[in-house]
Amino acid sequence: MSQQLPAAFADLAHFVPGWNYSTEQARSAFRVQQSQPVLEDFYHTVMARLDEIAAYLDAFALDALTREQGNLLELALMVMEVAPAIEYYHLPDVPHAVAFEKFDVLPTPPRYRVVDQ
Amino acid sequence: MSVLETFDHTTTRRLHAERYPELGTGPVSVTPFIAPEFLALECEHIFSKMWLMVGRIDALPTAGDYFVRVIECLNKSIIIARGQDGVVRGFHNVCRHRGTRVAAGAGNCKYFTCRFHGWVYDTAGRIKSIPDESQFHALDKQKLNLAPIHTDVWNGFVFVNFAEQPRETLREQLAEIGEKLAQFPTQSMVVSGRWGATLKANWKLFLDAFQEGYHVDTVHSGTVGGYFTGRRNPSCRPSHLALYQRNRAASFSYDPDFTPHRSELFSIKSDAALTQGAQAEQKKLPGTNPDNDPYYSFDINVIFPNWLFDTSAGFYFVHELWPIDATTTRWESSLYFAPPTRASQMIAQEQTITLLRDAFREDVATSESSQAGLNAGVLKEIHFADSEITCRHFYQVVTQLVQNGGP
Ligand code: FES
Ligand SMILES: [Fe+2]
Repeated sequence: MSQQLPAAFADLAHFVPGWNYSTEQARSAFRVQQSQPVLEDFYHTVMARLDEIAAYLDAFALDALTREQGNLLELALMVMEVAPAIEYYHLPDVPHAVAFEKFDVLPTPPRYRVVDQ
Repeated sequence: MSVLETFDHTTTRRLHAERYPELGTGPVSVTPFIAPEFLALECEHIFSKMWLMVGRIDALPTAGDYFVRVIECLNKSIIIARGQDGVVRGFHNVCRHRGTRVAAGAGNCKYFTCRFHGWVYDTAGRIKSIPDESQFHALDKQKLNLAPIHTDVWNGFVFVNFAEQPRETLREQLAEIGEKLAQFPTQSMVVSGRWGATLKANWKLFLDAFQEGYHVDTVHSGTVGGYFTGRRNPSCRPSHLALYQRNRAASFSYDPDFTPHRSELFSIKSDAALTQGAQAEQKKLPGTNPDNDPYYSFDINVIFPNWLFDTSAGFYFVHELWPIDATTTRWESSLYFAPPTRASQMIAQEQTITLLRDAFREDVATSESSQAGLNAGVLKEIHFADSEITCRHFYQVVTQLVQNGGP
């Protein structure tokens, strides 16, 4: 099996597959279905590495990422999706809001591209 | 009014009413928010006669690109297409033979072909071919092109007007806001978040949720409330405020005591962010922060009749509100950022995308609750505070246009 993440981030490998999604639609639907302790664990683990992740990925062109780099970027995007659940709501989903199912998260054009070797 | 007064957000004076006495101060009737008859008048005198924003020109970069837009309250389906000659046009999506739709969704094509009997039109709307044409009786082909709609473009936004002869040009309708934001760099940004809901609320009631800050400390106490409220401005009053003939603009400021969370600290240093605090000043874009508020966060620009073009330092977002019936609205919102060139920029943008989306979900919930209350028929009138003068102005513009039979 090929590597899931760049070698320097092997300690995050247990989040892939599972936490890497390519769209906001998929990330938001995933977040609201998790339990708070599971979100907290992900948030604290990945947030602690976020500066390193960003510094590492900034060296590569966004239109030609490898699968491993793409997975890492998607973990970073997921930590931003999860952040308000930890920093603000202390719940997986925003309370006092319209039900997630009654709200459309609409597709947007991709902002990066993974090139399979 | 001095600049200092503009930025005193705790005064007991009602400064906007002093400045706009013609708007009155009394309660307003609930009828425009609940009555089907009132919506029928709005459709007749407002939506059928004024320029309506229907999309971004970026969706049509090359010849043959098109998108279809359905405007339910007018029973219209329209095609916006870039012809082979490069010109962007609007047509009714109605086959000249017997009325069938000739296009759906979005895409790129050379021809629109009706699925019923196969009449063919080109992307400039001209009739190109009629199968078994000899069987028709004296068709006048001059009259068989797709029916055109007045279409115009401003700062990359595409507008249509269903009137035979629009009473105002698009520029006249956009007026002061059109001038102010002509140079705002929409062309350098791309859609990065897009959301929608079909909600049980009158279109004006939901639009009001996006033009007053009074609800921010309560509705958004779980999300962005803390960023916008604090000792300096406990009730999120607007700073800059300008009411024009039918449009209006306001700016909102952030709380200088706000302490960013970890995700926000990352976004602030890596790109533009909703909760960016003092960074905003350094990233000021043309047409934003008209009063140079040192604690500027973002501007709302409410453009009549049904959309908001909200600008900030490094991003903008748009709301569209389309009535379906008197108490049902289709709302869509899009958030635009500069296309990220580095991963850190994209990660930073994701923080604003997520938080703004969750805050909008809060707005949908309270507006549906508010509509349900009005539907109960208990209230004959509702009240607007001075800090909600944007809602009062909107109410007055709508009721006057309905009374006067349009612009
Ligand atoms: S209705 Fe379009 S071809 Fe007949
Ligand atoms: Fe709101």
